[in-house]
Amino acid sequence: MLTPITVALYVLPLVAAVWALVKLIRNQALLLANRGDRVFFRFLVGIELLVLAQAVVGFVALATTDRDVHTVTFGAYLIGLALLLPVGVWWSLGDRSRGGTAVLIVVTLTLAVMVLRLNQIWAGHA
Amino acid sequence: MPDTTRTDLQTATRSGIGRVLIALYALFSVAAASRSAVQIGTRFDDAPVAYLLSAFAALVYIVGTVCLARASVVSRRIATISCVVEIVGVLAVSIASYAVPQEFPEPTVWSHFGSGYLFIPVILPIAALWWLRRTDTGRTRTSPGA
Repeated sequence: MLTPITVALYVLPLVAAVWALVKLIRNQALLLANRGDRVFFRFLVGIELLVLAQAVVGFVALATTDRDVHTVTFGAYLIGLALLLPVGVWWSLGDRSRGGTAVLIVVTLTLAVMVLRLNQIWAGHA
Repeated sequence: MPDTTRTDLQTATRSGIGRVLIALYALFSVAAASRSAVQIGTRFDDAPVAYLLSAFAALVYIVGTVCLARASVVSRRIATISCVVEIVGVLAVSIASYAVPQEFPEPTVWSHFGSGYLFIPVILPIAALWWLRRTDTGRTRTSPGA
């Protein structure tokens, strides 16, 4: 598929996970009233935009390829990936303790793992 | 029960570690449900036992997610039961996946102690049971018959 997006979607969620981990260790929740947290939030929005770009590229690639890709699984991953961050960040913001920050770590790590799986599925390992 | 106590119970169950547990349960609900739907829909005859167990696991995760998130007295009780079913299920399927590997040609969520999922499947029910016990306000009440 499109390698730059894929590489970015390995690296940026891991950066976000480390960022959240630092906040967790410092016992901080994600509060949009704080300037630093708004920067973090925008960073996550940026990742989501890349995920959406990947979904477009992915569906176009799926429609035009003649490779033997498991269509249903691949499509489900593209849609699941697009929903993961919005739902995860919403759930995280509902908790004003570091529990919400821990949710962000889970969500961003899941994102990276799902991108990895997505590429394995594309390569033919369903 | 007065409303404040009910809200307290909900807040306690849903915050901190509970927040993470509910997120993980939701993730596993989606993962197990989609995985078993694809497996049953496209290649059921390959491993019917394993795929039906995947579907059962999905059901348990969905019950766990909903009941933990609702966090009422009744739903917490249902969550406790479903977590016990879950830990028994994980252990039974894990042992079966080693004893009769021919029935498990590809890994399911619960086989091999959830090794394909960072062993979270075996840790999750234990953590949830511990959390339900910790946030159980009824246990610390002084007048038991109330």
